Amino acid sequence: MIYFDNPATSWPKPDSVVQAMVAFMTEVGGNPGRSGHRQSVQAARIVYDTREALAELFGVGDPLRIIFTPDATEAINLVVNGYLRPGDHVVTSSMEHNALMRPLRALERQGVALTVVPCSSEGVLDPAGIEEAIRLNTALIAINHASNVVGTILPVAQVGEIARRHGIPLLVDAAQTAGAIPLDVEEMGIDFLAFTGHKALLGPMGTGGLYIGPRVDLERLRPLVRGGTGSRSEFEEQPEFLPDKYESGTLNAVGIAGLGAGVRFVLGRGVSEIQEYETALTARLLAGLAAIPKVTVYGPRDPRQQVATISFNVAGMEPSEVGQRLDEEYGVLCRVGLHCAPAAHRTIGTFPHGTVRWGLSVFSTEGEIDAAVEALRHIAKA
Amino acid sequence: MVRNDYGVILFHSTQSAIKAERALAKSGLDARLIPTPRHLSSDCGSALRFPWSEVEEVCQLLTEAGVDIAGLYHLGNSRSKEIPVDAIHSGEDIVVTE
Repeated sequence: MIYFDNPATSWPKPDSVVQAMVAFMTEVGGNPGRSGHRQSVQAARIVYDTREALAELFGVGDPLRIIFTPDATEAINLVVNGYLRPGDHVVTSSMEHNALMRPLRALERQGVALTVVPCSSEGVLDPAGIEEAIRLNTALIAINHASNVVGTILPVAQVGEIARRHGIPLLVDAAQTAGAIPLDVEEMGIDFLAFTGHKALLGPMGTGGLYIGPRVDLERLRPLVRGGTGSRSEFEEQPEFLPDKYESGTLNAVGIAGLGAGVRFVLGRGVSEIQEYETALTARLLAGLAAIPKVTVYGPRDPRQQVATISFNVAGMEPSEVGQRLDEEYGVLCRVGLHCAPAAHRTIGTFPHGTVRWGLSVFSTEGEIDAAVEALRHIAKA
Repeated sequence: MVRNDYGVILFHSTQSAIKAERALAKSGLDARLIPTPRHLSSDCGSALRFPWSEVEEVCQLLTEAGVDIAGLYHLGNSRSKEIPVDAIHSGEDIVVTE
């Protein structure tokens, strides 16, 4: 069986991730930091360790600036709904996932203006387009680091430099890049980094988070959820310090234990090494697909401009038919359709038809690529 | 640990207590996490307890590590004296004589 649905969720996970979660359930189990007893303290240590590992991965100075959320979607919602006010203006790209577009479109109806900067049909963003769109009332620039449809990497560092010069916060949706390609929040000028735990960070579902940089006006960022934090318990007001202000209720500590193991696995291999490995696999995959006449590949078709995610179509076939045959006859697992990113499909010209998407991970192999390409060759002929 | 002359540091966030534990881990100081004393704070979670003789070093290491200290108390021997947080961060002499 060949698992190529890594942009949706990565699989398999490292053994250490599963072990960390089982160990948490059987040996630790406490509510992190709430109670003073040894299991609660140990749970708090595990949660803190994961913050620290993430801080190392993203070049973050203070681990407490990393807030845990159930996923990247909620991290993005926290920024969009918490930071923006009616009368504000937001600049984004035309390659975004619905995790960003849906909250932005909802706010549009409440008086937050939105400019969507067009990308090329390969999903490439020219940073000048972002700068041209900036107005006096632009309160946020928000882009994804790489497309979940065609893998195109957006020029975050250049956009960050523009954002910094204009004094506008930059939100980066790193759902498809955290753990797969190098990310440094200071070098790239990132003020809000939304990430998910269950893709290239190799953790379980139900984990993710938001880094909040020091330039952000915390008073302006309202929490999405208020509740118990284990701090300032004599007050019925939400605390104002990090991370508690944005972490109410009980954390998914067992998930965070797994995420910590996943992040340490990535740190152990080295993100650059992982990127190099996946780039080589992507090149092999692109070459294989290019040799099948009826297959059209979208995106830059250049492994240096994208992460290990490729969208394609087979002439004369519906994507769903291709996907079903790949799964049932050849054991190649992937996602077909619009991938929760109608904007991206509109940009690359595949709306509403959709595409077949293959996404690799650090555990993908050359053998799997060759077998999958061979399977597609058979399907395309029939 | 000397039972009658010790310090307790409170933190705003329970995660700060762990950050403090890490900052002091390699120092060899006799600082440890304890359940937050109820008479000092209604907060849940952990506080840091250490012999009062170590107070200057503890405060310096925590300040250097950027740990957010919510309160410092000098306890033991029926003593219960709160040290102003400003004094901790400014590096003023915080060893109080009775």
